[in-house]
Amino acid sequence: MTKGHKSISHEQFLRLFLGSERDIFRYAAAIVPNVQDAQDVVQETAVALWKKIDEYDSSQPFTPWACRFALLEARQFLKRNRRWRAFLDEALAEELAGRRSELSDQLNERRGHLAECLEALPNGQRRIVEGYYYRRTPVESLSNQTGRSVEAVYKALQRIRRALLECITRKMQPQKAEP
Amino acid sequence: MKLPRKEFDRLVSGVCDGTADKAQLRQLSDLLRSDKDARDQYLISVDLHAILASDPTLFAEVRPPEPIVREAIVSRLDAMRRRSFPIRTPSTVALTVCVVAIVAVVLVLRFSLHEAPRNGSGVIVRDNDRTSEERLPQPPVSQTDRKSPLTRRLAGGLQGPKRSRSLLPRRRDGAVSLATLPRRQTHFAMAGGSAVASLLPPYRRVVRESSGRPLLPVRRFKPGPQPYRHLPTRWEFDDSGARRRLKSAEIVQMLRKEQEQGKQPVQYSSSAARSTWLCTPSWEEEVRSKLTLEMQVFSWKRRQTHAM
Repeated sequence: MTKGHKSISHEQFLRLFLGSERDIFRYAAAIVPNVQDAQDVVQETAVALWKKIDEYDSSQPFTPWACRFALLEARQFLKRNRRWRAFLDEALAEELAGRRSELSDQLNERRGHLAECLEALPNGQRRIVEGYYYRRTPVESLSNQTGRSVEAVYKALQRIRRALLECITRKMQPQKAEP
Repeated sequence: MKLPRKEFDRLVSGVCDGTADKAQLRQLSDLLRSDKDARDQYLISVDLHAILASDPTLFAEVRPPEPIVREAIVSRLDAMRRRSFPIRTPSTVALTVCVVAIVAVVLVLRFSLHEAPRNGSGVIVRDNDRTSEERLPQPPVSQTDRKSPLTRRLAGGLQGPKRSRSLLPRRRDGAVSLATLPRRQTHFAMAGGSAVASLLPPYRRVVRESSGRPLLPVRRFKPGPQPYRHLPTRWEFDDSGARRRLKSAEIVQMLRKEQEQGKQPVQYSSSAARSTWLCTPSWEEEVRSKLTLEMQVFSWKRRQTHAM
């Protein structure tokens, strides 16, 4: 069993990993935006982290260390996947990852306003976004539930995301105006 | 930005939802390469999408109506506190107090009177997506199974094995995923499913490292019934560990072949993970150990939740 060789136990590792999992997912999604593919990348990252956990310096924060692995795994994913490779080559992936790190404060600030903006959505839109993201209902089922076509549901999701982005931007503006 | 906002949103949505075709991918790729502002907007949009997909606490309102875990109760109370509503008359105050008191009594009664069923154990489970209370019956343990330490560990967590001949026909209307391991000449299918994938990684690979065998190729199952054409994942692993996606038709063909060979699937269900597994008898042990690990992860999460 590998357990005995590691200086950090399963439980400690799991604690660290689960604490950072969402951040790692967000980081991976910058390069591989499709949720299921990003989940794959996060899984591979977890495996890589577990293998290298002995190299982790516990005096340093875990998330940035883990995100480096996520970047490597995302690049591996791009290499393996022809469709994604056509979209992002390594250079562009690297560029996006770097820029994302620069924007991380802004992204975290934006994340802080998201709950409010979600609550402000009209009921119909909220049901769609909850169904799609929270319940993971397939779009085809959402289409049946809402009486819209599949294309209309995708369109609605696009509009909802735009509305949320604009709402968050509006909420950030007054704060920036303050001294 | 060089592109109109609507067009840009359409491209980014296509990437996020997996609906973009090659031309759209190329168009977005070119734009990201050439336009710094577009890169920022892309990162902001994709981050929103990633947060929505990964943070269930944003959707606290749609959690099960009875918050069982302390954290859920606290977050709900916080949400209630945050929500300000005008109270106009003393009778409104009295009415509110009455409603709150009734709800509190109902919750207290639920906690104190809800006993675990006989021959069963109560398990409170919290995973990444939902909070729920599960009462899991003890699995029937045969004389031969009693000798196996693995089986004993399943107690309280799994039901089964239950042999079901009706499962294959029932799955024709959806809700099945399947993966194969050619080296072991066997495969298994999963009907239904849940958000177990995000909990699996460290444990899955531990299985591989400790046993020297390929890990169970299970991932990315969405909850709820899924028609064949929408199966999220069909993986086939070869001896080198490389994998390829299986087409739905191949899956159906394999299931039929298996059925023709008289191999009836064995069903396991893990109430905690809200998942049901079907496997051929030859792979029964493997699936059982996989589900045991799954239960361990859930138990660990449960302990963490209580410790909070």
